[in-house]
Amino acid sequence: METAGETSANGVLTISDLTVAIHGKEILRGVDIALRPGQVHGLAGESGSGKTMTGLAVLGLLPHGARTTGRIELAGRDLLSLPAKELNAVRGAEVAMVFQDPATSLHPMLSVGRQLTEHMRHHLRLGRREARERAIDLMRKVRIPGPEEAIDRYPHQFSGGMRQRIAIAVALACSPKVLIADEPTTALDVTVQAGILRLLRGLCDDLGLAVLLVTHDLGVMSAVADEVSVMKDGLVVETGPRGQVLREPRHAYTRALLDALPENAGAETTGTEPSEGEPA
Amino acid sequence: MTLLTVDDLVVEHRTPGRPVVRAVAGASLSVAAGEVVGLVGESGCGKSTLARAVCGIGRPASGTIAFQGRPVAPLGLRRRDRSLTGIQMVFQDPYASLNPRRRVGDQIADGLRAAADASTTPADLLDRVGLPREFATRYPHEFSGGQRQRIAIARALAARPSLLIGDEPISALDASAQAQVARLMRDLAVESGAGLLFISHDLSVVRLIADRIAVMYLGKIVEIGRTDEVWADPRHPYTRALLGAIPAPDGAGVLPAELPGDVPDPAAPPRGCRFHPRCPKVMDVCREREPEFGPVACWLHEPA
Repeated sequence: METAGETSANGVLTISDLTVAIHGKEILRGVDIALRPGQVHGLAGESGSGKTMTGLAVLGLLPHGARTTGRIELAGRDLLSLPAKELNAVRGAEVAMVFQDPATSLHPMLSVGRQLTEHMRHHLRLGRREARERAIDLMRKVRIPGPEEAIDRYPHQFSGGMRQRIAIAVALACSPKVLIADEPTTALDVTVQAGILRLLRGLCDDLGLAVLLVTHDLGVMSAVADEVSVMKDGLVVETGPRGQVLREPRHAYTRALLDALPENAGAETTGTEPSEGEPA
Repeated sequence: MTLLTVDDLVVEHRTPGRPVVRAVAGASLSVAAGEVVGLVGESGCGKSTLARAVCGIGRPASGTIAFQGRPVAPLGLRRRDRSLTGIQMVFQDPYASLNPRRRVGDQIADGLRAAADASTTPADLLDRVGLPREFATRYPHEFSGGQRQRIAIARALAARPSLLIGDEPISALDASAQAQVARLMRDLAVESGAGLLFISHDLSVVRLIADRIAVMYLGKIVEIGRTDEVWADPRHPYTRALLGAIPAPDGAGVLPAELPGDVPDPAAPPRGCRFHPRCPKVMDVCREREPEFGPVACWLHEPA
């Protein structure tokens, strides 16, 4: 684990001692996470442990009536105390988000080109043509086949995997420094998931993006995350490099999470006999 | 005893002005009483269409579906034959499958009426799916996704099914509720001696609950076998690709293998083996002739 001084020195986004209470109920009870450029920080934990809330807090998307304390620092500013107008300039431009279900996170009645260019034109003040060219570029970057034609199509004309690629392209449109991906592959087929994970990892390496990957799937975590934090009841119980957290967990809860997995969930390791779930 | 037998089932979707789509193109499957069969495959492979045909939703173009030895008649305007209420389905989206304007207890009571069960109350069923009894007087909007799916399961169980079908019953749920609901469905089905046909694209969940796995690709079942055997030794290249794409939680940072290409358009399936354009082990014979055998429909595993 690293000390606080170290993280604020080279982190692009530093969450320190974040608490969130909704109607008097404490959802987060002091969360510390530091994101570094070019690194994927995985956030694991069960449902209700506060991993999604942590992601939403960064974007100021918490539900009404949420009270926060602590600091979320991005380039010297505290996002929690930023006025709405300035926060709007951060959202989508410096920090972007990808949600679980691309079928609902994209607008069904707007062409993907419109959704890709809207915030570029707003944040970067690009002209129509320029924004469109950039959108085609982005679609190429996320490997959508035939981007010149695809840009005028609507979300329903794409498969789930392609839609999630588009959602990622939308998030990347304004070259954010931080990407928050909340269960980005949970709604997808495994074969498609593999492609999205490769894409995320590649973007992170090529663009120096700092990614906060919220997922319950420790396999996904193991595949792409550099650092892993494990959350339980609104607290981060363990943080460390991927290999250490997943192989030699220090906290009992992390060990319990790993033990709860069906053994040898990876299929390519042949030769070992898998454990049956339960016999009939 | 075989509860459900699906033999060489073909289901076609016809849309005026569009080519006929063979969503299920000759699939055979059986489910025994007390058995859990998992049907897996990528989205668009026809697994939901197969499940719906088993319930009588949609008319098969050819092939037979027999439930307890009697053919399943497609659902019409008339009241469904009593013997067929033994097939009950839990749908994908509990936000859409429950009536938002009726109390959940009343909706569960519909199932009880179908089974002419006067002794059980809706509250008993809520109890069985792990919800408090007093929830019967509430409305669907008062519940979370996982709770709603439990209510949908309670409603299906109320009709005392001998075959329970889950059509992606967990994919609309919060990630961490998925395994719980899947286990619950399995336990309840097996407990009551019913068979369960569980459809999902999530292999890791199917593995937890299924006795047998059937892998479907583009309207055909390409491999079927005992869950542990399929898992330990997948033989069809498609099954291998599916299992290989699941990332291992070993902390090694290995990106899962990607299966190149998309599922082809079922309106124009490739000639020969349906998987050959994406298959890493494609041979000449695969491009010419379709492997029409089981349990592994692949020329590499042709039965002698």
